[in-house]
Amino acid sequence: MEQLILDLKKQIIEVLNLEDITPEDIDENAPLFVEGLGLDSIDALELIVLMEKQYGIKLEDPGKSKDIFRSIATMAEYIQANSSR
Amino acid sequence: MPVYIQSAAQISVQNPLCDDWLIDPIALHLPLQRAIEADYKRFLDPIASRRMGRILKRAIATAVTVVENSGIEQPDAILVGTGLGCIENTEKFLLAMLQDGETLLSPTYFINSTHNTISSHIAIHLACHAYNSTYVHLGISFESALLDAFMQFQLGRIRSALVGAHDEMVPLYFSLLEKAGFWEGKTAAETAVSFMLSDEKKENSMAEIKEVVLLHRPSEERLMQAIEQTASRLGIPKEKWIIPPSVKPIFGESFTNQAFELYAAAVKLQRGLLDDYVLLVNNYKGTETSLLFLSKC
Amino acid sequence: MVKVYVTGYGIVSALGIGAPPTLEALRNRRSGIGPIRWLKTIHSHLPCAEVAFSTEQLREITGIPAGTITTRTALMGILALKEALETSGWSKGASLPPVLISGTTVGGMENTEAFFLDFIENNSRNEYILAHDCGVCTQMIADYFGAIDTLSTISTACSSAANAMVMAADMIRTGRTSMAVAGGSECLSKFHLNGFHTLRILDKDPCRPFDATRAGLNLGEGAAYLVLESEDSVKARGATPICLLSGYGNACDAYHQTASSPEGDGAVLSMKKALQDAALRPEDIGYINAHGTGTPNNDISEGLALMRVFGTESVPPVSSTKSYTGHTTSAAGSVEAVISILALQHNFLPVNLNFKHPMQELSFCPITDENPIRPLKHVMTNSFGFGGNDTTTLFSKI
Repeated sequence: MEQLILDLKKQIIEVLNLEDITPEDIDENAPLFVEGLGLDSIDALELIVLMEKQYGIKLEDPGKSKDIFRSIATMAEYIQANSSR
Repeated sequence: MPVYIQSAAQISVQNPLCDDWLIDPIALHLPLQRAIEADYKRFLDPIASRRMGRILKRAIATAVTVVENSGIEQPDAILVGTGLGCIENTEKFLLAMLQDGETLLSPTYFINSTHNTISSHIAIHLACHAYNSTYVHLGISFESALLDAFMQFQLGRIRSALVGAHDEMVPLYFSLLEKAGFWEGKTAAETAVSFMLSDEKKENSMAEIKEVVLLHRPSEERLMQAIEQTASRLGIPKEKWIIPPSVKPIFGESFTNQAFELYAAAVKLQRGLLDDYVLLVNNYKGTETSLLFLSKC
Repeated sequence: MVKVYVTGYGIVSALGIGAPPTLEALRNRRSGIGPIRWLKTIHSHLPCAEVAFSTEQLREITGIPAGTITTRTALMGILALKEALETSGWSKGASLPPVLISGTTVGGMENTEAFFLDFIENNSRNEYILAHDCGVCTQMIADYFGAIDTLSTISTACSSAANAMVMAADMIRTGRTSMAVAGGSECLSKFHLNGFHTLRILDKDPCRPFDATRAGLNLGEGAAYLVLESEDSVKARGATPICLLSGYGNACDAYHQTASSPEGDGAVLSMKKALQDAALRPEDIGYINAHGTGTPNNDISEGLALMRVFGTESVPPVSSTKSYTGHTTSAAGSVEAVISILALQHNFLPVNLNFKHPMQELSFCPITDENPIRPLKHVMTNSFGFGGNDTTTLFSKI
């Protein structure tokens, strides 16, 4: 799980182009959207692409993905439970 | 209604956001010279700029600089001219689509590929709901934006306008244009220039814009006629309008490099380095021509 | 203020080439949205509103010889511009309007996406490299007809054509020209179909603007141009004006790169500016052709903006004709201007197709009956682009 969380942080920093932010700067339990990192709807779409590309998880409805994308920890839990890889 | 250039700022192959080029220009190298970046951390926090390519960061930095220097925080119009728009992101989206197929593409590249994302980013950054438009007409994209601003002043709709010229050049697209014979042996460069215009003459006003004319495939005769008609309407005989030497050897070439001609002329007019009446003529590959009539303040 | 008359219009869309088939489709509630025929894409399950002719067929119709570099966008633009000139009383050989302002965003992307790897890997398609730029499309359209003195091209995404009309009208109002042609053209491309797809705003069913179950837009393609003229020019030519371009407003939502603000701040501003420009009151407007893309975000934002401008209980009849033409993106502003003018001329309200379930958040439902209560005098059309480039235009009976 720890490794998965670290991988996720690195992948998110890369796909969302969060220059100057390191994995250590991100609290895996902090909210990703609005507060915390302050991500928006486009970032959510990028995260959907990331989930499919890296973990083979298809999320069709961005609205229903809200709970999954609450934090890095919730993403990691979902990946562990659902990843085909 | 008079229109004055209150402030101008550039990011280019020369040192950014200053006039160092006037005294000590950096030599250009063929075939492609990228811009020298400013320190964008002063203008943008990393979260705000996470999706921005260099062209957008340059646009924000030059826009904020002219806002600060002019003291006009909320311009009444934001107008941008760009030949190719955000070509780096366009290229990335296109390559991903063609090489990896039409699945799992990045939305960021797409939304950053549209030309008007530059002017809308400036608007979002300044929280400015004013008139906003983007011109994409080849080598006269910038002058089209300037003409629109000029007309908004004439119609009494605005008292200030932020007008920008933004083009980036990336190695792959550069090489394609090179294949097509576009550069003709000139130095390809990048353009980021912002101007703050207003109708109020101030101590620091740089120059006055008197008229903007756009012509499509003008004959020599039509061009002369347009210059004569405009000069006479402005009440200054044709002979008094001086065409200064081009600054292309200093700033290089792009779709919007006429903005550098205006910028350099304004800087020189302010310092008394040019005669009072200046005419800038841009002939883009024999198809589109623009005339900018300027005077000292 | 100098009045700006509309003396001609031309339109090409999935509804047909020309105003007559467009009018026929609108009055018979026939949509142009259907399965993709021409565009080569893996997303063939997404309905689109393509123009019924292949690029080769359009080339034949315009008489442009094979081998001459052109684009689908330019070909559609040429056909729409030709109709606009002809309805304005222009005939071949007569002098052309001196100004053409056109809106487009994808420009020559249709060829670029077909040949980009050729551009990189070999030299077989180099002649298309310089045909990529938006401005080249405008040049191709203009040069088909001949001597046009001033050209420019606007790209404000889905409000491009509306802003082109604004620029041209301002050139008339400032006395730069007495006559201009303005509008926009945009063909479907794999690039923007995929782009919209990454944003997950394309509906796999025909779009349902202003319906509670709406799930996105369908892309369309098309072109439309208006001939705009000053009063002096109308008189001098002895032309018959169709209506007035009575006002327009442009504002920026300045909220987000793609999303509209929750209550449509930019839309409110552009509509209010247009009403003010035309010196009209909200109650003067008899029909509103909404931007109405059918995405969850646009329709709630625009709907609330309409309620703010017109009053919760007094929103005039509204429809989105994107349920017929699809979203013609950069051309939408002029395509929907021509549709609004047709409504004004023929005194009918274009019915909003596929509407069944009212949106709870809105006080109004879109048009289901084509008969206006009072004869139409003033009509409004909205065009909103990504980045919050919002533009409203108004057309009025003379």
